Amino acid sequence: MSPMEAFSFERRITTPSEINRRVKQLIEGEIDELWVRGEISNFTRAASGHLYFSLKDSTAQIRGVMWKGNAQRLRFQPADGVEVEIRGKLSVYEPRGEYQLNAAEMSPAGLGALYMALEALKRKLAAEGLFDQGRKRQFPAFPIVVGLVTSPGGAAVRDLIRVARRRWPSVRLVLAPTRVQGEGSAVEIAAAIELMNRWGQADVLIIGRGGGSMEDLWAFNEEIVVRAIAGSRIPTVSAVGHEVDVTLSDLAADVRAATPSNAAELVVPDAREWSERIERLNRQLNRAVVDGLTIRRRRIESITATHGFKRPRDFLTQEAQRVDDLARRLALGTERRLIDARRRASDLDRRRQPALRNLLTRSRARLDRLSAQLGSLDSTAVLSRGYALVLRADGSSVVTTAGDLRPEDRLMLQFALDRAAVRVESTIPGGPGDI
Amino acid sequence: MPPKSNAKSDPESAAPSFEAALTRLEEIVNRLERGDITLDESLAVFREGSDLVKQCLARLTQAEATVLELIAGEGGLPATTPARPGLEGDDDALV
Repeated sequence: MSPMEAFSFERRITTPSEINRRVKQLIEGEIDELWVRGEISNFTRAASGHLYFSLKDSTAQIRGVMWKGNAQRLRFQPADGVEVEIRGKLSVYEPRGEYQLNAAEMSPAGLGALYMALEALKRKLAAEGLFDQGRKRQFPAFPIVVGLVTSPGGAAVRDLIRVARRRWPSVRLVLAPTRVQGEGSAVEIAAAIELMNRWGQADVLIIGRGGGSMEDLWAFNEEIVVRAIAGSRIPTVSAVGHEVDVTLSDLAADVRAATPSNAAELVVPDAREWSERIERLNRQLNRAVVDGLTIRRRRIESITATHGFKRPRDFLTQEAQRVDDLARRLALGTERRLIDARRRASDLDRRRQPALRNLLTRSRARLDRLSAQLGSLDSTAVLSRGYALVLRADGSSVVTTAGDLRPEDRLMLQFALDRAAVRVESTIPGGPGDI
Repeated sequence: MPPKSNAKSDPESAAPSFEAALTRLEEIVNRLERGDITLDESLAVFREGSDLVKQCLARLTQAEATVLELIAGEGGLPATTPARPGLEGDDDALV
């Protein structure tokens, strides 16, 4: 440092930090929140979720930032070249001495007023309960007639028809044609919904259109359309624009589809899926009936395998065998018996004469023996009293009279216990004498 | 209720709807799988189930898709007309 400088008048020295701090105080203190309109460029979305961009007009630009918290509430996609309106405050980034617009809210240019009106309408209808989850109805799983409320010339109706037919070849589609954008389109859409309700034969309504700008989709934010959807007796599916586009119609409908194709997928069942399900049921049906029969057969087998059942069965078997046997024997036996009987009869015939003769002979012999015994018993009794029996000497015959005798005949005297041999001296005629 | 202007609106009302047939079929399968059913009954419901399978599959494969347009006819009454060319019978639609 030179001596000259040391003696110069006192200079007021500041620093970059201090300048930036003073500028920050000045800008942030003096300039209130403001609305800025410009075109976005150098747009980047940081990994943190913060948005960085420049906002420019034909001659100048300003750096801008939107913190994550505000960025999450955005209802549209900012991008380079998009004209936007931003509500925010100026702020200074002290380390770099840069100032920037700190955006709290951002909307496409020209729609700001519309958005405010939309928010007001949304609050009003929500307060009436039109968006309540409790109002949401289910539509039939297998609609026969699907009502379409859309433009007959748009891509949406073609997508709907193509997807619906591909999924369920016999689906019946009825289109209530309406314009879906431009002046008066909202009234037409509402009228088409009412016409569908008066017709009353659709099982479900798909209401929507293909993608477009926010202005293109605006009819579906109109009160008359939202009320028509909320008042439809037929369940409704909204299909407005693309996934990111959410209209009041979407909030009022029973189901919100992301796109028209998606609506057809939600509403029309997939025949291929269901034919698989039917085939599966068919297999289950067959298996169940076969299982039922198998179980019954096993049950019968397990019963018949038990001792208690086996015995009667054995018994029955044996009975059956016996019956068989008997039948066989009956057949055989009858014949054999006839043969036997016949043979026995002829045998008897053959044996009859000798048998009888034997019998008679044996009987007679027995009778002779008995009568002889009787005779001898009788005579013995007499003889024991002192009488004697006179027999020829050979014992062959009894001599009953002397007149049969000659002198010198040899006789036998039979006493009760013994005999004596005698000779005749003479015979004497006459009576019994003195005895 | 306004009179219905389209007489052939519901030709399938005579036959059970696909959903009704499907529900009945599921009942039958469940009943058979539970097994608390007599042999005679099981054969009867099996026959019914097989018929339902045929009906359902026929319903799935029949291709008589129609596209009609609904317009406000005389006196504002709803009336259906064939869809304008390009919608009905669109070749792309059958691919």
